[in-house]
Amino acid sequence: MTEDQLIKVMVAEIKDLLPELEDTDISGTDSLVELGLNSMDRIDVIMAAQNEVSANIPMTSFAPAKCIADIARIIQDANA
Amino acid sequence: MQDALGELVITGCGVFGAVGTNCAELSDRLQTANLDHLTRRTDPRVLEPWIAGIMPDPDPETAAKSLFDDDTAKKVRRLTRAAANGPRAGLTAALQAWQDAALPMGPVTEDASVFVAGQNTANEVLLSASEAFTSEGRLSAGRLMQMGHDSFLVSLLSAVFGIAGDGAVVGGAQASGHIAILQAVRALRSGETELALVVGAPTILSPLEVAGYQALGALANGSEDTLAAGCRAFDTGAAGFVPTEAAAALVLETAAHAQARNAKVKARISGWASAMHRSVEPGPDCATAVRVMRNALAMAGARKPDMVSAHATGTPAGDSAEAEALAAVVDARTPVTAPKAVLGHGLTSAGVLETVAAIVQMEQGFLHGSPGLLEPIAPLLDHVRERRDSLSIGRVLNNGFGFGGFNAAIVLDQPDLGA
Repeated sequence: MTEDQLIKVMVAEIKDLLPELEDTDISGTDSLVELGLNSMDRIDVIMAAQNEVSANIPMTSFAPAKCIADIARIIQDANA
Repeated sequence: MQDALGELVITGCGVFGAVGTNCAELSDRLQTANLDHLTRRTDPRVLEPWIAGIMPDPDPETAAKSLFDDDTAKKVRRLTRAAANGPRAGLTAALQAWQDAALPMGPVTEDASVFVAGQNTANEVLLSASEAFTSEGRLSAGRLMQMGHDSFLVSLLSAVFGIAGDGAVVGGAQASGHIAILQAVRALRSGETELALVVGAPTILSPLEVAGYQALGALANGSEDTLAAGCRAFDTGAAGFVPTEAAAALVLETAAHAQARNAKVKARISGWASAMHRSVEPGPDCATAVRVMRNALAMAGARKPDMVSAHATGTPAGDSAEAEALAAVVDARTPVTAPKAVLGHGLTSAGVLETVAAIVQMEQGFLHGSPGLLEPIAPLLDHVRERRDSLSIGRVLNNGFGFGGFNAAIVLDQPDLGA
């Protein structure tokens, strides 16, 4: 799975979490916090992406992630 | 209650389960004694097939939209997104009860409390996550330790209804429903709270738990006969209970609180008692059953009950002990109903579900029948085999017992019943 595909999965999860973002353009450079997600929502988004590729990465590894694409890269790097 | 401490009343009811998805459907089920909610289940790891009532998928968001408004539906959607069917069903029943009680949605109140009946009701979440953990070799449920607590339903109800007073899960095995109602009753009597939402969380049995009940010999067999007749409560052919998935909800208030907001009272709670019989075993104890029934009736006053809602699970030892206890407490002309004969056994929610069923019957003046009762066990009571109509039911004695020595009885009165 490519980084773009992982981002797509996360964007779908974000829109399901916050229906008010339905018509918002969300891209890899967007930050979860700035989109209005809280720390539990963040876990849902990261888990949705991990489940897609059966990754098993500790949540602490995602601490440096600043945007959606960062999360995708961390998953890609760990699964490489 | 006739003393200075003030009366306690019930002003709202709700139900969601295999037996019906609202109180009107529950009423139909009780009137017709239709058992088409039961199905046969099998699992390769479980020794025998079994019969159970399996609830449809609850949709609290749609319930919130139709009973309240779009804002409530939005809030419910967000709060239940990762929730399992158990809490979703509990919330759906609670939304009905809240609306039935004509309570407003929105204001936060520190004078309301919430009690959820039934421990271990998150087994559904933990066991399915455990299976996935083993088969996939990784955790896939990010919110496991949020959803894996059975207190999640307490939190959910508190968040949806703005309940900022006390909250707790109340467990007493199969008597959990009764014990939770009594917890609410005592909180109301202490003056700590003016209104209590009591929700019976459904038991959604996993194959593991079914195998465990079969090992105890407590579950009815999976035969055509069980499918057609349900559990055989108080019958010589009784051979175990039939589980059913159901959530039920009640709104309890002090009479003063209900009166101040002009609420319609559905029933009064006029007596109660609970007691342990010092046993870790599943078995019943007749003497303690007698004690709680007598104490609850004595608290309610001189008037005799017009109907008994028996615990009667269709388990020979339990039914015999209860029949013997009832023969000692009520006279031989007091009609005895066995709600589990029609509804099945809600387990953790049974006490709340059967209280709703008793209120439905009081309001509509009928007693439900018992399709599986052909040859009653001794001692002989006035068992209600066929539905009885056009009755005035003023007072109900409502029993609940649970594995490990739990005994409870609650007396419910029609609101306009004289002292």
